[in-house]
Order: sequence, then structure tokens, then C-alpha cells
Amino acid sequence: MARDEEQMIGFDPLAWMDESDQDKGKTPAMEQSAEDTGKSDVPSENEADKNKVNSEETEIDIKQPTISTQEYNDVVAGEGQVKLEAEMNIQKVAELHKTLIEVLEQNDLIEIDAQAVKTIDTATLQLLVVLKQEAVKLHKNVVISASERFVESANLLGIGQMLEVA
Amino acid sequence: MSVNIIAVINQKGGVGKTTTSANLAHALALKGMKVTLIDFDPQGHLGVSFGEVKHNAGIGEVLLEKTTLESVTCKVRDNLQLIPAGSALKEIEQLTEGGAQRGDLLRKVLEVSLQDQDYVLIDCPPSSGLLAANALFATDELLIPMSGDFLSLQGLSHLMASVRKFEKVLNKKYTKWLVLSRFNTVRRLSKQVLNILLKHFPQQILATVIRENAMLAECPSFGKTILEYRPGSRSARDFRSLADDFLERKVMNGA
Ligand SMILES: Nc1ncnc2c1ncn2[C@@H]1O[C@H](COP(=O)(O)OP(=O)(O)OP(=O)(O)O)[C@@H](O)[C@H]1O
Ligand SMILES: [Mg+2]
Repeated sequence: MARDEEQMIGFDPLAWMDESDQDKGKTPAMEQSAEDTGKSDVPSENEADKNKVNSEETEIDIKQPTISTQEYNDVVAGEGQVKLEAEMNIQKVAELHKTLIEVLEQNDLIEIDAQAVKTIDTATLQLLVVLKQEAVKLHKNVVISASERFVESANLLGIGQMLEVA
Repeated sequence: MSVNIIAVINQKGGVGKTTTSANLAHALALKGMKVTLIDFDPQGHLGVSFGEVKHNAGIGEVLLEKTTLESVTCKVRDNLQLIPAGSALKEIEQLTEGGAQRGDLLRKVLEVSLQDQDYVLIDCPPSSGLLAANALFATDELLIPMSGDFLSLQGLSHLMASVRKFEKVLNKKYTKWLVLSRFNTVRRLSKQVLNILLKHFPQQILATVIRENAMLAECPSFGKTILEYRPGSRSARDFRSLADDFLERKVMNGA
């Protein structure tokens, strides 16, 4: 588009298509600060609308013979599950960040299975806080089923209630 | 040669799905292709566009196994046949039983039918319910009509989100073709919309744009395609040229 041409389109509703293609190679932006949510890589408001409309539209409860019901529900009916490992530390944050973005993008209900967690660091917990906050903005739900150690760590940081595990 | 099944799809209403289906199919048929059109919209506008208005039974009844595809198929022009919507089609959207098979009704029918055809075009309804799902199950190729306004970009965003979900669940990649089906060449906004589309769908926008022209809105009431109603008009030329693009995979080159 020529530079001198007056812009008549304020934003590009299709931008997310490229973003979700690129996510694979991105580094996490979330571990910096939990307050930073607005700038995180989590899908934007615009995408929220898309997902909302879309999940309503595609909630058609059909099942395809070649796929499992679980698979179908995960993708179409909008439930995503993420299992946390026993030891969650900053090395794993990048990977988790990527996973969470994908899951948040594709689901309305995100279940974090943290029952196996034995140790968890601040970076991971902050990431989960950001996830929670983003989900609220997108009118989505995050449910964490936590181990005792997870709850302890979260309470220690004063975010147990925020994560609804206190 | 195996049959190419193409869903003409966009959940946004009024973007030109039916107009594109009818006129492109007729243009292809005039070029010697064997084409079958499926009116997959309970409104039945595709049938009307060919002057076929009095069908009670159609694809709806076939999917519900009340009749056979052969018995509802009608020849509407040389090389061109139509499978009307049928009054049962709207029931499909509301089906609550049938579990695993409900999304798969159309695919099952098409798997064993119309094998002598070159192209089967499915004119989808403006919704993303069970009918659209059936179309997405049944095909690997999508033709997406787009008008050149901003809201159609928004609509396309929704459509692509659905399409991606289906790609994931069905573990396949759709071949996608966009066609600018109601293009206003004078408006600057149209050009900017096109630029955005080129950015996101490189090599996937058919080279010919169908220009906005009142004649295209007139011909359905006569039960004629533009190629019969005004064969010398620029809209008829647009569709003949689009048919060439479609056959030769001729696309726009990004700026
Ligand atoms: N290029 C065009 N120029 C002028 N009018 C057009 C053009 N394309 C479509 N129309 C008119 O716009 C209206 C909507 O077009 P059409 O029915 O093809 O869209 P559709 O996507 O099938 O709509 P629906 O979503 O309701 O099925 C019709 O009245 C049609 O005649
Ligand atoms: Mg239509």
C-alpha cells in the first residue's frame, strides 16, 4: 500500500492469523511481570471476540468417527487441559507460555492440572496469574486443580486467592 | 478424473455465495465441465436462481435418508445439474440425535455419488451450524466469496477461526480460494481491504474480481444466470474470466 494513501482501515481483524503462526518461535514475555498483562503475548481483545463468537458457532456437538470424543471436545467444544509437571521452574516457563497461549486461544474453559506439582517457582506462578487475568478479559475460565505444595507456594506469594486455590 | 468437491462458504450473509455458485457453475458448464450444484441453504435461493422453485424434496431429504440423491437431482442446463435444498434441510440444522454421524451426513452421501462429475459446488448457508459443519467435513477445498468492505474482513476472521478448528480436528488442510464477489472498483476502501487480504492469503485470491453490478441482482428473478440474462455484459465477462481462473488456478500476485 502506498504510504501517502490515506489509511481507511483502523485495524486488521486477520492479524491473529499471522500471530498464531509465529507463536511457535516466540520467547515468553510473561515472566517479566504479572502487571504487564496488557502487553503480554496472550491473544488480544479482538481475538477474544473471535473466539467467543466462534466457539458459540461451532458448538455443534457433532462427532467425527475418525477422532476421539476427547479430541473433539478439546478442540471444538472448547475445553483445554494443561498438565503441570512435578517441578516447575523458569526453564519450563517458555514452553508453558507457548502452550497456554495456544490453549487460551482455542478454548473457553482451561483446566490446569497442578496436582503433581512438588515445586513451583515465581515465574510459573506469575504466568498463571497472567493467564487468569487474560482469561477474565476474554470471558473465559481457568480452573486450577492444585497440589498442597502448589497452594502453599501460591499463598506464600499472596496470589492463592487470585488463582482460586487458596 | 476424480470429482472436485468445493464448498462455497462464508458465514457472513449476502457476500455473494449464491451469486458466485450459480454463475461460476454455469460458466464452468459452458466451458464443457460437468458441474453439480448443491443448494445447501434452506432458503433455497440457488434453486430460485435457476428458476427451480417447486421442489419439495432435496438434499435435506437425502441426508435424512428419506430419498435418494438421484431422485432429487435435476438437470438445469447442459452439463449442469442442481440438487435443490428441499424442505427437510432446515431440520438438519436442528438435529439433536444421531451422535457421531451428524457432521458426516453429506460426506457419506458424496463419497458414493456424482462420480462422473468434474465439479460439485456446495452453496452454504450464512451460518456456522451443523450444515456448514457437514460441508466442511465433506470437502477439502473452500471457495470463499468476499465483499470489499471492512466488516467482511471481520467475518473472514471468524470463518478462518472455525476453519482452523476443523483442520485440527479432522487433521487436514483445506485448499482455500478467495473470490472478491462484490467488488466496488471505485471505492478506495475496497482496495485497502484487498491489500489486507493479499497479505494474509497470498496466492489464494482468484485473479478476477467480480464487480458490483445491479444486473447480477436482477437475473435471479428471471431464473437466469448472468450468462443468459446479459451474456455480453461485463458481469458475464467477469464470470467467464473467473471460471478460467478457477480452472487454471490463476491468482492475484501480491503487491
Ligand atoms: N457483484 C454483485 N453486484 C451486485 N449485486 C450482487 C453482486 N453479488 C451479489 N449481489 C446481490 O447481493 C445479494 C446477496 O448476494 P447472494 O445471495 O449471492 O449472497 P449470499 O452470500 O449467498 O447470501 P446469503 O448469505 O443470504 O446466502 C443478492 O441480492 C445478489 O443478487
Ligand atoms: Mg446464499
